[in-house]
Amino acid sequence: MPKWFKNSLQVNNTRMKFVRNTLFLLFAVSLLYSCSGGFKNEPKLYHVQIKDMKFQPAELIVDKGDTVEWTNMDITDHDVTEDAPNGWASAPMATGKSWKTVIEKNTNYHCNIHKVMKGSVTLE
Amino acid sequence: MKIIKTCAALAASAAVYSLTLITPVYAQKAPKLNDAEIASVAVTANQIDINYAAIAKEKSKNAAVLEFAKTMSNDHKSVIDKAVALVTKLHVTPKDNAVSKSLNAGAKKTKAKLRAKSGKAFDKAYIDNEVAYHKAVIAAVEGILIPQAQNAELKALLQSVDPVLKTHLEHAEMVQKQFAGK
Repeated sequence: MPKWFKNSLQVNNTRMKFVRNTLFLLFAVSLLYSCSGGFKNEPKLYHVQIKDMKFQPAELIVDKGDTVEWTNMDITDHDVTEDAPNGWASAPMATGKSWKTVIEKNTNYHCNIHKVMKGSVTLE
Repeated sequence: MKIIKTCAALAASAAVYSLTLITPVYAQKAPKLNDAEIASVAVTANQIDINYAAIAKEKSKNAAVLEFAKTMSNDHKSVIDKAVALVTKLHVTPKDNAVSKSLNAGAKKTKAKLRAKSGKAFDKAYIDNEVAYHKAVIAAVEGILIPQAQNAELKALLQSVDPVLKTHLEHAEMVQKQFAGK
């Protein structure tokens, strides 16, 4: 067997091992990823309906960094205003309008137009 | 305190009476209304509260009262807009009737009483009236207008207004607490 052919076979063999090992590694990584639900939790979007003069659901549990979107389904305007001073607040929302914010901490909120309407978002 | 509660209860009873019982002849049963008359009562009842709010905006300097009045004005205008859009779509012309006439007559007297007051006495009278008026309107909406409405869309609109009125009542009672015992 010529020497150049022998060398060529050895190179091909090394390449095959590399490809096989890479594929195995990729398979193991994807298996681990799917079993764990992902290495990092992707931020989720939660929806709160404002209906019949209530936040539905009025109490929501989310992860830090998740987004909550409120949609006004009522016949009157509403807003969402954090109870804490200088907190977040939406502008008044007409029927069918939405507003969303990223949740970074436990928070209580209300409708500043109808102050008896209250809700909360709690971090898990 | 007991006297105030009794007076408020009497005021609410009187308001319900004016809404539901036009004359003693009707004392045993609620007045019968068709959809055109129900639409008229709904628009009239909302307009009356807008008018009360206009007086409050004119006379009050209390932040909670002014905020409440602004909400009443905006919300009841929104309800009227929805009602007008619906009757236009349904080709129904709101028809004046004994209940809407009685409402307007009662409102005329109440407005005169409110206009005669000023300062904290006005604020208290306005909020007390809002509590009594919303109790009366809720009773009429639940006891007369919703059960008697024939058109499904009109009935649905009235049903969607009911929680608005209840929230207004709760809000009014919250503001009323700051005048308790005064």
